[in-house]
Amino acid sequence: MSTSKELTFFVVDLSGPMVSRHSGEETDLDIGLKYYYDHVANVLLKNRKIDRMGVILVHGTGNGSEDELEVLFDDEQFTYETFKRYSEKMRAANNNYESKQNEEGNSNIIDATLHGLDQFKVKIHLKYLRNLVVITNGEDPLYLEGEESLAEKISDYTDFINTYDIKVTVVGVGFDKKIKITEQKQENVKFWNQLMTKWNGRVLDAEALNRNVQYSSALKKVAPRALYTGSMTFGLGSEALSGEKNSNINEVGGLTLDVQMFPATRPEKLASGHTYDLSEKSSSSVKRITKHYYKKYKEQDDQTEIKDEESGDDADYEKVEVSVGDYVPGFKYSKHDIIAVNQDLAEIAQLYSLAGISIIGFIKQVDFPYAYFTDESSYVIPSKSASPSKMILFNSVVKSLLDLKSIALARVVTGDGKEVQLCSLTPQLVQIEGKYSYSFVAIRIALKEDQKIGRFPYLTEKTNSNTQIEDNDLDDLDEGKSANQDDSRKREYPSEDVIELMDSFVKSKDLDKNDKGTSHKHILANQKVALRETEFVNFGTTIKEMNTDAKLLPSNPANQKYNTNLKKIVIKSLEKESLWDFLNEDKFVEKYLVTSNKNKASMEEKSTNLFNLNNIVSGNTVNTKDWLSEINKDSLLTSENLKDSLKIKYLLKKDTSKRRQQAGTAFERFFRADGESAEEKKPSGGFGTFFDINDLLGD
Amino acid sequence: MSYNPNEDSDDEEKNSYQQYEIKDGIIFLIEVTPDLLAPRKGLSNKSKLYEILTSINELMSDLIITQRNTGVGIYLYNCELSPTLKSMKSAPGFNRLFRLSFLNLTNMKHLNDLLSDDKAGVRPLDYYFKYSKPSESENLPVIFNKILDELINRKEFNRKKVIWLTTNDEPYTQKSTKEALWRIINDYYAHDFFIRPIFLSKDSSEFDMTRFRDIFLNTNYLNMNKNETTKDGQDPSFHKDSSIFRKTVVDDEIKKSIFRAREVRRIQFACDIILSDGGKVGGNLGCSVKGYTICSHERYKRDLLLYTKGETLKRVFTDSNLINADTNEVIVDKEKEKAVKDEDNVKEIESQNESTTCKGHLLAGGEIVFLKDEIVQFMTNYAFDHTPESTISEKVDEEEENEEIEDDEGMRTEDVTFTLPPYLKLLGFRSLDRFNASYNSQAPMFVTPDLSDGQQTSSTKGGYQSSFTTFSSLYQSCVKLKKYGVLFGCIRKNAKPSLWALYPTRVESSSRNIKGEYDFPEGFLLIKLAFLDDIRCLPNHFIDDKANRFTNDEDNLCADEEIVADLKDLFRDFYYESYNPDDFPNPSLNYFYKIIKHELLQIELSEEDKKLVNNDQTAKKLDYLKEYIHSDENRLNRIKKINYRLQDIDERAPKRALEDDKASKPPAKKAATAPELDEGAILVAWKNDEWHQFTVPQLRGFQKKYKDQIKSATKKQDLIDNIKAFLDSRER
Repeated sequence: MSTSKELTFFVVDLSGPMVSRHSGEETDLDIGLKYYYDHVANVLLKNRKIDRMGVILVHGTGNGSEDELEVLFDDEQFTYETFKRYSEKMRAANNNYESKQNEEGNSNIIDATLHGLDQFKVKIHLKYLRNLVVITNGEDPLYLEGEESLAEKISDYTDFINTYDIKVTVVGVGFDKKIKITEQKQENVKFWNQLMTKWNGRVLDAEALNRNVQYSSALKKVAPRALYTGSMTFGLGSEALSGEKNSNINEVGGLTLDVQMFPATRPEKLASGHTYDLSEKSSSSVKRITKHYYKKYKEQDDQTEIKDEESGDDADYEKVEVSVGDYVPGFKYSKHDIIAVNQDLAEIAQLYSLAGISIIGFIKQVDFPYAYFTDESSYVIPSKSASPSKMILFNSVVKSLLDLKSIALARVVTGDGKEVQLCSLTPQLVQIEGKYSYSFVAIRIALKEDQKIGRFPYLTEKTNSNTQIEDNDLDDLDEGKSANQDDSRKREYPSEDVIELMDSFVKSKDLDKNDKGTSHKHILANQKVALRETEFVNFGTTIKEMNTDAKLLPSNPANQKYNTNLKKIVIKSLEKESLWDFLNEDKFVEKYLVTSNKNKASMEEKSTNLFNLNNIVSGNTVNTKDWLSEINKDSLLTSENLKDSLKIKYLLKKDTSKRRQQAGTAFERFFRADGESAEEKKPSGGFGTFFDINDLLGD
Repeated sequence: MSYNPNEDSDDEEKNSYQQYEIKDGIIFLIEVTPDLLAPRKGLSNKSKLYEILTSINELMSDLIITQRNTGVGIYLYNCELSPTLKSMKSAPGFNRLFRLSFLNLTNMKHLNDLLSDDKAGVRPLDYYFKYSKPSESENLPVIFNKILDELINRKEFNRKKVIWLTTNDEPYTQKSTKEALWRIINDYYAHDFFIRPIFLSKDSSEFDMTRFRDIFLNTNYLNMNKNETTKDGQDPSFHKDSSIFRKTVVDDEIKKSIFRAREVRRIQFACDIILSDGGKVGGNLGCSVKGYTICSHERYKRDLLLYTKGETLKRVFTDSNLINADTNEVIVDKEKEKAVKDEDNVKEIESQNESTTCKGHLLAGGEIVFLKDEIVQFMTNYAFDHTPESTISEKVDEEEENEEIEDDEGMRTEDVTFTLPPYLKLLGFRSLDRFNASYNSQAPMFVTPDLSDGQQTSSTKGGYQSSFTTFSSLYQSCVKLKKYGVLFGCIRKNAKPSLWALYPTRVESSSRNIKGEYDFPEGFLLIKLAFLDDIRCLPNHFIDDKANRFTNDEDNLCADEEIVADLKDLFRDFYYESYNPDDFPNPSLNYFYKIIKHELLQIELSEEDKKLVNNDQTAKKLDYLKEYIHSDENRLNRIKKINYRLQDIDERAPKRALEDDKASKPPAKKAATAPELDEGAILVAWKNDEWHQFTVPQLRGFQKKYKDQIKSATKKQDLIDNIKAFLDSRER
């Protein structure tokens, strides 16, 4: 079982060089702390009672005496108030350069780091994900108290770190700098790198990390929960599923695999938050209360019939409140046949089948249309307790289907008595640490009642003229639309020249360009699929080069935008007395969220709240900077030509109010008084604002 | 805009389209002729009428599941009045089986009984339906006028159509009739009612369509109403090339033709696809499109609540109010709101409500970061910038508009530099064979050009000219070059953006390939692609199983070559050439409807009727498959051979591994389960209001006993509250 409880300590270097303002704007501490703030904002927003966080401040430089280290840790939930308190101290140090600039000596950051590790010892018997983050710029000479004993000490800690899987990270300000770097710093960077190699930790450059944090989000592992655990069979009849007695399941005439099914896709939503009432000078949460009632009509006209919600709603009635338990779900078989579905009936009306995955046949992958995939996909893998032979059978089935370029179709019931589904099982290779494992991906497919497609115009002249071959395939011409004068122009088939231009447009926007990788149709390789545990502390990916598949799998830029701004608000609020007043400030967006571009001349630094080709695929990816806009450059000329030869202009709608007046039939228009609009005449006219009414009514 | 906690933007996006329910009213108008009643060889000696009515019967049982708000009516002319028919009292021989009304059991049973009587030989169909010779005076105009009245009176349907089935190619002889019919049919169109004739072929001679053409092809109508049609942008008349006038329907196609009546286009969204970016063209190359549903999971909806304690069933409604959790004051009261609305003060009240509630996030420690609407709007701004290099950097932030230009013809056009949602922006193209559909998340939609170039779409401010031509050439190029497009964008105004694949139809993995059936229409599938956040991880036991892994260059020891070879041989016999959903009705759904129908009609169901295999096509398939294996010695032996080999592998497998395996299994740990709660214990607890001694499983056990009355909950406190509410209600 993996745990998600988190215990994190930050070791923050507050020595003279960290707080000196050499560049004028930001101190090294400011830069180094950005990552800390981001992490804390995350912790606050996550608001989990089980997480713990502490800070070890390393004041100035000195002789390693204990009071140089200040441990801030409360063994309770880290709150906004705690955050403010800790930050206060750091800010004080940051503004305290005067008193520190004359200090000289060695840095006791190593000692502080070890001290930080000691902090874990108190709760070492509990299950935690343990992180230690050291923030320093490595300018001061390291205080290495008796070098030999230190080396010994470090190796003691090495065992400790390995045993308890503590992740140590050094966030180094200016560690990537190539010029103007002191010899001392070079030596320190080297030291940290060596130490982290020993400790299996990482050294990251603060600025690179900050950029990464802005564009990337934590890779979250939601504990996988099996949707189904049991057998997957081929060649066994249905009697084993009917739940009748004496059914013999152990037949030689069939194959039985032990499998488990896990969710593969579940769309992540925006942080949902809650609704609050801000009426007084405080915010309190809002509850929704639902009352149930039936309508008691004053005129007892027709007692037996259940009134339709559409009709008779204006009639005089009084609401009679009903308590829980006095009503049951109902089912409308048709408009006129309504039945109460109590628990008994619901159970009887359920087609009973035992759980199981049963293959009903195979189909070539190219013969099965994607259009019939209807739901979120799931992984199907050998079950945890599968015997070696079952493992081999599973792998062999997947392999043979991969070789045959086919998918299996299977009847799937995930629990006894649950709905019967049909799923496609697509063979896939999962990439784990450069090697492959066999698996299936299951996706629910459409059944008879699920098909909803209508008829649509032909897009090619050839098909259009061959309608007779296609039987009486009616397009919307017959359904009585768009046969007017404009139509001939609007349904003009493209000329050879235009198609040729379009061909070169399509070719010029090839995303697979420069991607030498082979077809990835059967491979699942991404940062999530084989993730062992959540990377709360997101260090960006270690992948150096990404193929097109991976580049097109960024984190969601909308979630990113929302979360980044939310964290920004939390962090900015630190400098303010009251969160309430801060959030109530006028022009909040302009003052605190819009990033000014005035001082940044170069394109790449320009920030914008709009999406564009460069920023939509940048989250958690590598080498996507300018990737899409570079590809786009090759298509500029063709785009221009296409636009001209197709005579495309963006046409604004005519005034809609005029159009509405025209609505209705000729008959209705005739009787409508001047100046009266269709809306007033027809109660249903309001739809027009929501949909394309012609589409719904016309065909 | 105030934030509603129950509405994520993902849900919200759907609402605007779902508010509107399609309610089809379909009238079947059947002309009875001797030919129609004659038994046919091709229809196993049943008449065409039998085939028509059977098809309608099946159509109705289908529609009750998929579109129960459809209305059906069956009318016949030139048909003698009989006990099962009701006269339309307008023309002799014009009768109805049942009037156009919402699908209901009475009508369905009526028709079904007639057909099963015929089938069982109790009473043949022609006992009820007899040909009556039409009068000289030509009643067709009267009949069509009456049908028109029927349609006009049925206000509950918002789309109405008549399906006119006939074998008679001489519906009229007099010129006056022709003119009258022509005028009446124009009236149908003026009401947006649609008539679709189905000409059933005759054996004796060619079906002569001249007379039908004369009344349907209203060229004069077009000329007369030229101005009207251009303004409205549509004209409902037939096209003279319409395939309807080219072909008749032969016997075995009757069903198919009737089933087309249920085909409905369900619009999902309408927006622009922007193809270009940057440079001089900016976002000016694009086309306007519409998206429609292809498939969606049909499930039964328990969509209403019923009060069962009274003499009759009563529908239960709900009112919900927002209240302040601290003060219990009502914030938004629907009743009051409604009352105020009547007094025409809507605006004022609404703005008050808006300002008091807003979205917020609770921080650890109790502080709340509340976000005013303007902040939320900034954070959820999904506009797309097509010209990021240009100097106007904060376009949308400053609410600047794209530049509007009036062109030569006085049309208002604009230069597209950015687009507000909804939009789809093209990123580029990829080879079809690189598409991996593994991370599917929803049913794909069908994308087709917007023939009105976005001029009738409410969610956009306009659209691209030549959309059809652009889209058509894009489709042709993608098919030819075997490419699919990758798009980014929001398909609805309030939707979150996604990455999408724009995958052409009628190419590999995108065709139906079903013999004798239509392929998908030409166009693109819009398939939602996953973001990294949407992907779930595999369980650690699989990730850590290093033995179960291989590299391409090493020997692959995870699979057994011999078994793989045997499997491949075996599987070859179990291939589908294509997948046809029509072969697989949803077993659970149909069973539910079957039981409910029998319950409503108070008919017993036999045990045989309840059996799984008799209700589940997929289970039946399993039996066929098993039978097929057992029918051939080779197949059976191959399976046996694989199983023996597997046994062998287990025997040879190092014992330790097996033991390890056993050891690693968690001991069957069933925490000492607390005893089930009886009513007594609960009542004591309720009296004393002491609940802490119970465990959640105990409480849940009690709740399950009274499932209908006590709502389930995920939190213990909620569960207790629900049980208390139940007991309180009992006390009263």
